[in-house]
Amino acid sequence: MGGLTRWPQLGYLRRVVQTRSGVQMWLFGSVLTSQTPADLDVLLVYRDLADIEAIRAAHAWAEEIPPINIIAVTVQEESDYAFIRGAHARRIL
Amino acid sequence: MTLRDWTSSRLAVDRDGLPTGVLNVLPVGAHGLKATRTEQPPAFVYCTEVGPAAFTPNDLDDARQEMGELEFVVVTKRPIANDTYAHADDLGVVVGGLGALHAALRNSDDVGTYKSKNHEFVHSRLSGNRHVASWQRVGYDAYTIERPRDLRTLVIVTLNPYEVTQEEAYRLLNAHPEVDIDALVTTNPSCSGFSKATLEAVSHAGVEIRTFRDFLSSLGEPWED
Repeated sequence: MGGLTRWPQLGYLRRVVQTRSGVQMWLFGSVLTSQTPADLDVLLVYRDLADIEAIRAAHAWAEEIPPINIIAVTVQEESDYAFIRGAHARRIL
Repeated sequence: MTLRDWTSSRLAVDRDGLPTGVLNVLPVGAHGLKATRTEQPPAFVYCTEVGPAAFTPNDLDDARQEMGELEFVVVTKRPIANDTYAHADDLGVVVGGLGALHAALRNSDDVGTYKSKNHEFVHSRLSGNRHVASWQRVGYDAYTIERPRDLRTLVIVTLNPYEVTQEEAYRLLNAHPEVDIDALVTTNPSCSGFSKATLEAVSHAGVEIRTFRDFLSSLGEPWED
């Protein structure tokens, strides 16, 4: 959970995601390995596209410093891509 | 703190903490900045107001009236209308975010001519293709491509992720309601194909999705309406 305390914008995103039941939130990439990541990579796994539209519309995530880079995949896409395993993602919600 | 103050305090180093070459920054008028650089000419930057209304071509004209020497308009926490990019290209100025401004300050003598590496790549490939008569941006990564002879004009949106997700395909399609898109085109050389979900998403919209290499190869073909 270090990313959430170090980067307040991730905490805010987590609170927004929490309002959309059924959406998983994972961190991956340099946010897990670097003290100075160029961006904060977040994977959202969803069932209803409207949830992701609402989350993206809630805030200008890409304009945070560092920017939050959101990738959203359906449960089926995650199964096809095996993204979580391949990226060694860490679930935070 | 105004957006100009905020921008001014962030010009000397980029988001990675690397220096941009900016020595000092002075205010110009109500929204402008003059950034003096160590080895390059000064850069003139216009800082827009934050707000929910998109930054439009008319806003860009107003900014130029206010600051005639502007080269780069930095837009933060505000959407940019798709047609603003074509107007900016015509005027020889750049409209973009703080990250693009950092790169422009570091790499361009004239920050008004700055292009991202991906834009340089796409623009050079389009300009060098014999099946392209002319092209114009109709969004940040959207293009109308006029072709010679009786080949019809194509509209594409480029994207660069390794994997193109269904949600990204829908998002790009919805982000350009003013044009009829023919294809989403990925410029990521590592992209080897598309998921069933993504193919279904673009198919439902009557749009194709291709790699940039495949798209360039198809420019001499008729393309169905």
